[in-house]
Amino acid sequence: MTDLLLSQIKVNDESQFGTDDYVVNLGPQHPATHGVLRLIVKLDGETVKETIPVLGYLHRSIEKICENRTYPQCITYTDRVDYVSAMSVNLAFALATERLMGLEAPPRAQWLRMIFVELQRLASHLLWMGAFAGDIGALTPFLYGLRERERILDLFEMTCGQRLTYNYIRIGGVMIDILPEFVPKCRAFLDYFEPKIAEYEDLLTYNPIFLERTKGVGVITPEVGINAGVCGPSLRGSGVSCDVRKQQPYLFYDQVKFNECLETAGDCWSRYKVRMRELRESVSLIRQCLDRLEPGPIETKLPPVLKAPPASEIYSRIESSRGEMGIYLVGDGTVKPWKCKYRCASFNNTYVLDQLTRGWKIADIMAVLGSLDMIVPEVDR
Amino acid sequence: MGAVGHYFSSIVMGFWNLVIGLSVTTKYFLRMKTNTQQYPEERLPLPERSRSMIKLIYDGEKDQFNCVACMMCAKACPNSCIKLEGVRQPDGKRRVTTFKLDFSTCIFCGYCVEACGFDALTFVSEEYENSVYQRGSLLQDEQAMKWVRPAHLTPKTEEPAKVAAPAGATAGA
Repeated sequence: MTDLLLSQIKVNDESQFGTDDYVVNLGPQHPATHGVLRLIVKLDGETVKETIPVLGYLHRSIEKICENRTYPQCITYTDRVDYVSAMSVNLAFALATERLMGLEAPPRAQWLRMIFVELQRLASHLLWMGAFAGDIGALTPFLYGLRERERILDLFEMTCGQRLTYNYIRIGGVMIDILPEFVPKCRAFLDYFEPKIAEYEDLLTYNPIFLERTKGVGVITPEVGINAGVCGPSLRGSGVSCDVRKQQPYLFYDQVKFNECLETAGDCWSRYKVRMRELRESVSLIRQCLDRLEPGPIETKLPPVLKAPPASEIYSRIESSRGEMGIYLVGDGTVKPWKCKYRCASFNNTYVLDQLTRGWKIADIMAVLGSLDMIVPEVDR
Repeated sequence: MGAVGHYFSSIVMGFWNLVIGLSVTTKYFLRMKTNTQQYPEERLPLPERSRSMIKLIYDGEKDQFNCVACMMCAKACPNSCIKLEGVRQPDGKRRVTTFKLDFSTCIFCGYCVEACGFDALTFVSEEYENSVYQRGSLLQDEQAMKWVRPAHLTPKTEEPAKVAAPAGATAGA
């Protein structure tokens, strides 16, 4: 019997007695993957040889759903594309539709949009900071980040009634005007928030353990970043200027003063520092927008039935919290988009993960993954 | 300096930065002030605009719903979760007979409330505990959604309707 079994095994095969990769599945249910991302990691001891992201666990076919909804109805689905930065996606879709149909929002609506998108950037970066530090092992900053994020969400809830899926930025304007007490409350929040950024920096930036885990880890060189289509703060950490707000200003970003935050090293620590500096830039941006806010209409007069011109197409992009957020729309003269495509920053940022983690230890995957600030629903859509 | 100096300076700097970080946490520890609300015991009032629950406004004086079944809310809904029917009353006005809203597919986007031109649908901010034990309980009808506006609340005085009312429907109630 034993002889019979042995005869069936091919002894000359290298894989029988040679060395083999140790394959580990990280996820899809793993606390550090920020959702249901599955990584197939091939290991040699503890050293990573290859990382293969497996996408699609959170695929809800939002692009296809949008092709069966009217343009205003699509905005409700954009909230679910990137739920940590829902205002940005709302704005991306509203701007794309407006450009497709040749509409323009009144100035007050544009300033309001800028205020809310920048507040959303603060909220998104705060959540990212907490989650990133948590991945590395520092659990305290998560509480500090979420404490301030709550206040931002309170401002959102006061204005549009929701804390996560706002549906606030609409085609041709915004949903509803701000309350009179919004501006003083927002200013009070900014005054409260600005000293807190120094607190986060005290907690994390030069912490020796944090430095050991992030400095020099997962370097994106400018060549790799540009070739892979990495965008947003992840690429700005490598010193490549790629801020859509500067390159191709939309709304009134050409009328306000802000700096594009650039770091040169390209490692996890640089990406962290870029986002920390963006917090300060966003605070100054919101202050300028609040100063420039003037009374006026908040919505353009839309036709009762919103139709795209026949055979029209548009690619419109904005700078979301995670990078370039592009919407490609094809209109066919009806009330529904014929084709709707989201170009999400997280998808391209995930692509570079394999190159960044090769040769590093398995624990560094979490640091790199966290520093790329990916949101799985945005990857899968 | 050299390697030995670098070794000791990094220890000192690392220790110093740990002290800075710990001073932040110690400051909040000694302040003894918490940000957490003990939810079931301690409830915060939600903002007036909070989109917690959709209600169908019932006019107590006239003993009827404000809804005239113009179907604007059903058309505006992205998920088609509103089903309603109406019949013409003896006085010539359409009135709603059945109104069903499936809260298991409702995403609280607010389009139905905005589309309503007859002050018939509204968001109620205080009813935010909407969990149920059975999925079927989420399909609410007009009796479950019936809501009489308290006397201290005024009807919304903004523009009556963003979407033009269809021809034939009688405005006002």
